[in-house]
Amino acid sequence: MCLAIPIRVDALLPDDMARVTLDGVSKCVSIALLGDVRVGDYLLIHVGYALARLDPDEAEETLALMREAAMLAPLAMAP
Amino acid sequence: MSATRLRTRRLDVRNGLIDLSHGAGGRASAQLIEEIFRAEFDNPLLNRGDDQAAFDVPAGRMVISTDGYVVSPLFFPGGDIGSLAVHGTINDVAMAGARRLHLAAGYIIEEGFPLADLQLIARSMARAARDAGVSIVTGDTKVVERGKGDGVFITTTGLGLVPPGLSLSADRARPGDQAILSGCIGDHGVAVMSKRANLGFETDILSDSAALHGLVAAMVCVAGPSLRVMRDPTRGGLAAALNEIAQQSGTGCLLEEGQIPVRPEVAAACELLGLDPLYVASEGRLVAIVAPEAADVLVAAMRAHPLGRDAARIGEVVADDQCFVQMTTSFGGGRIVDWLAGEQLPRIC
Amino acid sequence: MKHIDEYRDGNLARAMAATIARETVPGRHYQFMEFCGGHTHAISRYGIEDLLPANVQMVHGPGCPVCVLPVGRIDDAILDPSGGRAIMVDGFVGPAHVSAVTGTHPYESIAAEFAKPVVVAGFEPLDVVHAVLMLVRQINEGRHDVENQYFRLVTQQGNRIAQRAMEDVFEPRPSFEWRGLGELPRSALRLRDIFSDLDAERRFGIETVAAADNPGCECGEVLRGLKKPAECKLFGTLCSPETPMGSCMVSPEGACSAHWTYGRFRDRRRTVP
Repeated sequence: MCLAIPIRVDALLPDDMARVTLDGVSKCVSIALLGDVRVGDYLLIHVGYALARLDPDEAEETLALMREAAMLAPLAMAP
Repeated sequence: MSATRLRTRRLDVRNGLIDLSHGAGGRASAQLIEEIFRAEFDNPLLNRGDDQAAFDVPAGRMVISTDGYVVSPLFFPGGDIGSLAVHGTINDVAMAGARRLHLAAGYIIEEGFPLADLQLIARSMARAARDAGVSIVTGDTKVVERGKGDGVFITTTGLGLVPPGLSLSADRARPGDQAILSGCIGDHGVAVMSKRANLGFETDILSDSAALHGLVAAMVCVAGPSLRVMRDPTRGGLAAALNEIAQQSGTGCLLEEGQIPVRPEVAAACELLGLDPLYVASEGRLVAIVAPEAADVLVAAMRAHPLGRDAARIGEVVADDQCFVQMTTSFGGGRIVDWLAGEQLPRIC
Repeated sequence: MKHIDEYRDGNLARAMAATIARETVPGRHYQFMEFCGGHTHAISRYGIEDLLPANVQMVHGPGCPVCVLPVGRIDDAILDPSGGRAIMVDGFVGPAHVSAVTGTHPYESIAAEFAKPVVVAGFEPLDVVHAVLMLVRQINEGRHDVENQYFRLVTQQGNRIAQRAMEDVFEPRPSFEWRGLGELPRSALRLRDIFSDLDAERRFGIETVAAADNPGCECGEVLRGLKKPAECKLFGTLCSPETPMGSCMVSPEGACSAHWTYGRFRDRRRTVP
């Protein structure tokens, strides 16, 4: 399945592994497909492998773009 | 079987294993029952040593409920198959608003099962029963050959007495009635799943397995005549419970996702596993359908009870000849909360 | 949950949907196809179609249970190879996590060849709504570019280490038959020769036996966006998640399965069990 969520790295482990934790739930995953992973990074995990790293600046910019798009709506709008 | 002490060595609980003779009805069976089950359950009816328990029945309407427990693993964070078997059947009786009277327990044990584990399970059942003010008054033990059973399976049957004036049934929901949930859903399912090796995640979540008779008594006290039906969302989760009620009442239901309490850790585990919390089992929660005028006082009474601190109104019953359970998502759109198709995860309770 | 909950904000979604409504050209109809099951699932689960204006519609294209998307399928989503009716799709919502591996670059030839915009979108509901807005803007401006809405996780080149791992192990097959779509060239992969001893197909001499679909199965039409799930004669009668007849119902992300699980309350006129 395609569905996955970005999760925070809270520890680097030997053999290209890392521990990721979301709201107290932890998993050990492989970071062999990514270079240069650090504690605090948010990773996209599929079947136990990290495929991509989330860029927090780009995430902020995404939300800014969304908010900008939302503000263009007329002030009086139906819920 | 008389109360005379059998002249045999005591069971070696620490190292001993169940063998076929323990289920054969002979001396070994008797010793097992005496030293494991009667030792832990210890009550006058059971101690008589009869094949059945005889007792006077108070006047009124009785309920009887039975359930099999096949949970895997047997021991999980917050409970085990034993406590689950006691809580689960007490709850089924409680869902009728009934005061629990007695429990019976049947065991099917696999040859080779450690006596130490059996004792732990029996001890856990005894504690759960004592805390709920009920006794396990009769039981049965069978042993199957190695490989023909998975450790132990337990069936419990409960008897209860319904207070006068109370008539709860799944076909009584009417449009306008309110749906009240007693607390966060999905803790039990996630706790059990966290111990399944192949799922590979760790968490501190504990099963919510608990006896609900006290909460139910508080609810009946404030809103008895206004209560239509109560269900505990076990297998299939809240979705199954609500769909059952909708189907049997010939009504629909409209839920508000934002009102349904889910712990952040449970939500996170569900995200990681690709599960919907609405389908994950709870073993110490209930959903009640109540007439609208009694909803607020019912929620207040539930929140005053330790097992109902997070009680919330989650939706209402609506007219719908197709009996859909619909939900307004936190996002603002609409979806149905359908029956679970297939098996989400086996051996949850 | 950080980086998740922010993209599920209903108020922001409704505001963005209002912007979409304002920016669509009155009288103009917009049809966008998502071809990744994760999007089909998100659209159904969050009820996103309820938020979009009436003149913007989502067409649920071929998904894939195992996230392998052949480019050839997109061809088929635009033209019926038998020469039959074509669905006029104005643009595409491109897959999210597949694109984290492949990058957005493979979609550039599709956008150019068919002159249809592709917006790669995340799986959270706000990502989908945002992508729809970006598609509407492209249509209005007469553009057909590949845009990356999911740029917080997806880049143009993708994950080169993962791509190299794929290239080391797999190679394209000359052709492959896809349910509902027929034979498509260079649309599927197989293990390279050096791994032939691990390849079940070769080791056990497995040959594909063409299995006849139920004659009433309309997966092909649904996959191509020509029919909605509820319009298939088998939907809700012979075909359900417990007794699936075709791929759209087998996969939890298929259009029919998603509609069954989340959306069939909208088929009020039809009798469903």
